[in-house]
Amino acid sequence: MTNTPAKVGILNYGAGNFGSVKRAVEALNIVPVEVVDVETLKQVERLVFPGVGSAQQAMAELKQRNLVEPLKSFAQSGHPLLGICVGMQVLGEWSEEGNTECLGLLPYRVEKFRCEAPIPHMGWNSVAWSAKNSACNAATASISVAANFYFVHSYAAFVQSKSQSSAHVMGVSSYGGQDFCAFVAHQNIWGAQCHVEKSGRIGLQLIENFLRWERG
Amino acid sequence: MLKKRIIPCLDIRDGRVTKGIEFKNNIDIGDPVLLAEFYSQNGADEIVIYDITASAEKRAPDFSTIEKIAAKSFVPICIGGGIRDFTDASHCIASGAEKVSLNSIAPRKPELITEISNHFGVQAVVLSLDVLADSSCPSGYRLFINGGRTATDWDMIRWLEFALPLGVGELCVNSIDQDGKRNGYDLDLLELIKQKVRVPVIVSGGAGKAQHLIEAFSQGADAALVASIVHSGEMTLLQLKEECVRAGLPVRMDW
Repeated sequence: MTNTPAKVGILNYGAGNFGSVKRAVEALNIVPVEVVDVETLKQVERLVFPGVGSAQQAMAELKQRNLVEPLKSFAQSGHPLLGICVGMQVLGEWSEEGNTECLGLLPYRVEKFRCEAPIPHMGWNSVAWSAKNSACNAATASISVAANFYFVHSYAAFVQSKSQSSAHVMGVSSYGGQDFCAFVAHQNIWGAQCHVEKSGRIGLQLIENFLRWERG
Repeated sequence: MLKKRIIPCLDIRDGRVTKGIEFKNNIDIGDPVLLAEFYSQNGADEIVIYDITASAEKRAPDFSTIEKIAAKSFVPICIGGGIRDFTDASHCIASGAEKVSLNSIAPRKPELITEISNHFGVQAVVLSLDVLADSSCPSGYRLFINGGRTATDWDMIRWLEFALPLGVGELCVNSIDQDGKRNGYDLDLLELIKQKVRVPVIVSGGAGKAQHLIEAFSQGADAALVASIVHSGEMTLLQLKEECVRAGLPVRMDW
């Protein structure tokens, strides 16, 4: 690789998949900084925001660590940010899970699945992609349109239909008859509802695409 | 569309992967870290690791092996065998597993199911059961523990009715009669269970050819454990999946 990514941080606020995300980044031969507070956040230029558990708990942990405003500033200053699973959900405006106000960096609301199928939605599922902006194109570089990703979640940012969705929606998946955002991207802010860190080589490719992305 | 999962199962004894027949007469298969990495790069939708002697030896699973596997295998990992309490389960997850599989411990300490699922979510708890046909049980199957060595007083369906509401995300059903025989999964057992439960069901024990997986998936299994059939090299995960595709089943073909 010719372009070495800028200093990469992984947010550690007690989320269960911090270790898995760290191992995935390390497998790409990048040594990440463990971001635990405002000081460590200042050391990085690019941030992966993992998440497992509830949006309510995630926001509470961020508040307790005084990270809510610093994270918003980090994203608004144009630094690349990738939220994974609950990390993506809290990038939105609000979550039904505990009636939680989220970071409000992207324009979606997160609600519980309302379907007959068993919850959580767990397993490998495909994604309908729509490359709407340069971030979308960068995120999906070298990834087949037929690729599957590993999901585990009971809440999601739902969309009305696969074809009529907002500009930030770059990938839509379906479960139990409901369509939801699998991937979002708006300028420097990216989100993956699936666990890219556990989606095999293709998931690692998406993480690598994020880590090497340069804003045009 | 959600895919049917094919899950290689690594039984570990003394740091090596082994495989037995009807839970006995184990033969050496290889190094668990290398095998897990190989399978994860060649189509495994998940990897299950059973520390098959941990329970009997009254020790925790081998966390250092889990960590080594998680550093090389970027697919979901489930750990079973030797999980005695919440601390053991937390260590498994901290070492890189997504799920823990509870078997012998569950009838002895059912509150552990709730403790783990409350903290990590129900998807982190797989209830694994070893069952044997028994006409004296109302459902026709009896629950066994200790690697199939000890009969319990539980009728299988009574056990499920009791245990599932405690916080189980997934069910793994091992047919002791069929284990390692490669005659096919116990489809009567699968049908009985699918009628009773809503959580995903993983079938285990008896896969000898692709047709066995196709039958189980067609009858509603969400996932299938495979061991002998792939460990022996007789069929690859790719070959098994290609057969499933030909049968019109949704499986993950890109990795």
